[in-house]
Amino acid sequence: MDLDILRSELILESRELLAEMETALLKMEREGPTREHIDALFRVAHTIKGSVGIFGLDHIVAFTHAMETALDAFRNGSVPCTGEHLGLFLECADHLERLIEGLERNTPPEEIAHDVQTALEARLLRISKTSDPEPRRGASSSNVPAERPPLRPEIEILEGRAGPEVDNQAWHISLRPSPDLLRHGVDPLALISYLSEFGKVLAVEVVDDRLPDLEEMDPTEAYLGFEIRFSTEADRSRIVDAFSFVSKGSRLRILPPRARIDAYLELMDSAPHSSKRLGEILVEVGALTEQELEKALAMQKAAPSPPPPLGKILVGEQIVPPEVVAAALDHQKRPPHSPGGLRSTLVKVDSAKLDSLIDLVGELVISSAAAHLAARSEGAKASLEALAQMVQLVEEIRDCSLGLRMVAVGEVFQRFPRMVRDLAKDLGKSVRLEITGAETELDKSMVDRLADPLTHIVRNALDHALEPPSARASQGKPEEGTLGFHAYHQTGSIVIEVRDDGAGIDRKRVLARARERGLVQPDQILSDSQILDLIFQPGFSTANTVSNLSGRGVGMDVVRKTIEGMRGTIELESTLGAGTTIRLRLPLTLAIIDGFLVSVASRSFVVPLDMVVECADLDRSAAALDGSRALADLRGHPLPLLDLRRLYSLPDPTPARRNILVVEYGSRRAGLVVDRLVGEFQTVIKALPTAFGDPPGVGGTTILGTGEVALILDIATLVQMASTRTSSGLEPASTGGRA
Amino acid sequence: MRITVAMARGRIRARLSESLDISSVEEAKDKLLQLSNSSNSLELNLSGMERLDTAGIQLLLALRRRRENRNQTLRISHPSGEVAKILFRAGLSRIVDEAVVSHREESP
Repeated sequence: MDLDILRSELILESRELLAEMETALLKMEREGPTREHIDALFRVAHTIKGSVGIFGLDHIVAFTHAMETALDAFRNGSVPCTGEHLGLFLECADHLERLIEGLERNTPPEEIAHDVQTALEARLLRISKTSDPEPRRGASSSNVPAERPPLRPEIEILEGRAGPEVDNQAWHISLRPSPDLLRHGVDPLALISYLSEFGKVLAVEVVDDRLPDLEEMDPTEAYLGFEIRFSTEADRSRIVDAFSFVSKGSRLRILPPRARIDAYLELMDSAPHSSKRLGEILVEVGALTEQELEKALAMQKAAPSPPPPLGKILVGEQIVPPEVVAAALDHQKRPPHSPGGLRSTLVKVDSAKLDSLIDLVGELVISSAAAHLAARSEGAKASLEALAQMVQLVEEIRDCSLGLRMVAVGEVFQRFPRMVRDLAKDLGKSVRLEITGAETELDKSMVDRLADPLTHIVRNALDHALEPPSARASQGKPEEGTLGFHAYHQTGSIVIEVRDDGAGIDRKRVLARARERGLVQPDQILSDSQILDLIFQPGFSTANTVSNLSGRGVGMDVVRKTIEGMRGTIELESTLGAGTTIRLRLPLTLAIIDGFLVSVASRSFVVPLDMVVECADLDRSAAALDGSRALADLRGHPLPLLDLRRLYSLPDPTPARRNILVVEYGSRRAGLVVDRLVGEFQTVIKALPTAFGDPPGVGGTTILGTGEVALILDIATLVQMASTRTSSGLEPASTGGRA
Repeated sequence: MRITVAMARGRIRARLSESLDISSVEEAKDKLLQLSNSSNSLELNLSGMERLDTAGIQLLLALRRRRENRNQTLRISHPSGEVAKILFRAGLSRIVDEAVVSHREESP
């Protein structure tokens, strides 16, 4: 196994754990610390310590150990956990993040904010020092923060020197864990599971003779012993290695195949009170036959003091093999699995592989459409039936494979609780964060690209929008401001709203600033929404001072560009004094859509199906469309029209009868004037080849079953074009709706 | 760990879910002891349990021993697939009294 892979797994895992820790800490700040939360923190520190210990990363071991010790003081109630402590642990989490980053970049430990670590360790030590100096029984760590847990067990190899060889081809492994083994994060079952990597675990028997009554037991102490029959081609050092990180004080005895019978005797002798029971266990696991056991017991009687063990070896300091590391990491990560090997319920897949799978599925969608078309034109009934089923399956495969790329948008929200807390603290503001719809899914690639724009929006909200508590109080608002993230699905898009109840946007100030910057002519009159739109203009910033939070040149124009790059839109609503809502609307996926196929002058166009509202006849009286635009009257409502024939300068003649496809994007509707409505069609989006330039309102291309290329219309842009340019004062064209 | 308890005619049926491992055994011990002291008939349903380790296993064994010593019944039932696997690997499948779907694996 490759150490590099393990290392990157360690890094990945630690980051996940740190995120968990941060969430718990922030929750504790809000709701007050509970035992459950403290346990969660302890578990994170403990797990990271266990993982990094295997790599010999002593500086991180020492640090997590100090954290663990302090947490333990909270756990046993000797020190109450206060808000100040929570702040300290947040700093510790940050430092751990730095340490992990250093690990990733191979920075030498002493170069990673060493003084910060020393200071933090001292503060952690103060917590544990104020706690009960008597370590309670079973306390999971000592009060010395930098002590590394002892890692080496005592290992004996018992071959025996007297008596007949036991007729057995398997190894016998007898493990008596040290009482604190579990507290060091080592689970014997994980070790047993690891054995299966290079052999077959034939039988396991638990020895529970040390197990006290429930009432008296310290549940974190290891009481169970394990007798293991193990068959392997590997040599003894491999077996020894597998156990080399069980802690000191554990006893491991290994009996090779064909060990002499007195080796088993010695094994039984080591636990005089339970030697009979152990003998039975040895028979149960198949180490000895009944006869061999009897023979051994007879020998035991004859010679009460056993001969000294022949092969007693102490496994000294040595580099732990990567396989062991793998087993340990695996154990840290999830519950142990069956003897068949370390299997996981999660599979990590390179995202490039996913992309190529989705590409192929796209091709499959197209070719199944082609097959369907061919069968239909031939009128082959049997083929059509078979194909119907296939098309169904292809659809399912498509949905499944797209589902593989979908992740919860909460993944990107995760960073905000901490960020909001820190920013609010810096700015002396009090802010409550509300998140809803974190489980709403969207394409992974979009989640990654959303992080920066959202961060910028959050910074803006905290820096400019939300007022300091005193100012809020004087306006009769609650002192605590609210910043909300709300994600939900709406007509084929995912909507992410960032809502604050801050000062709102002062349109007069915006306009004044825009005039100052020359973005607007002095005599130009703008509508409300046009003024708000100015905020998205490059180089626009109303902040009087450049703070270290926002106003660093990366403006809302960059945010808009990023969102539009994902075929999304950004809207802004603001009420002066009451707050601002920024609404991002993004397509669900970037790859495949259900489309509606229309044709104009024998050219095919595809409209995303979930944006189609209805179809209508275009009345002949509307044939006199001005340019490419007009206004129709749809059951009493004005509907801006866009004539695709004119828009794309397609050749005449115009057919006698034309249709309107009513489409909707967000809250706006428009009618696309087309020749023919063809029907629903599933399609794969391909990027528009650069040779095409950048025609307005075209989002991509696709290949039809016939091999013909169709343009996929970008409805957001077209709706925008239709509604902003319908100002020519045309007579409304009347239509006969047929929804 | 989460415990949902239902009581009927003096019998306690408790559903243990999430995890029973080193991070939760201390709390679990107290709860199990309390349950054990409340009824002569106790059933632990493990169908919602996702994580079980040696610490959890020895806690269950200690509970079983305590109940046996006091002639009280304990039924451990319906382990989740994950838990069934872990018990199987520890050679402890026998501690389960009732399972909906028995865990099948290559026998040792």
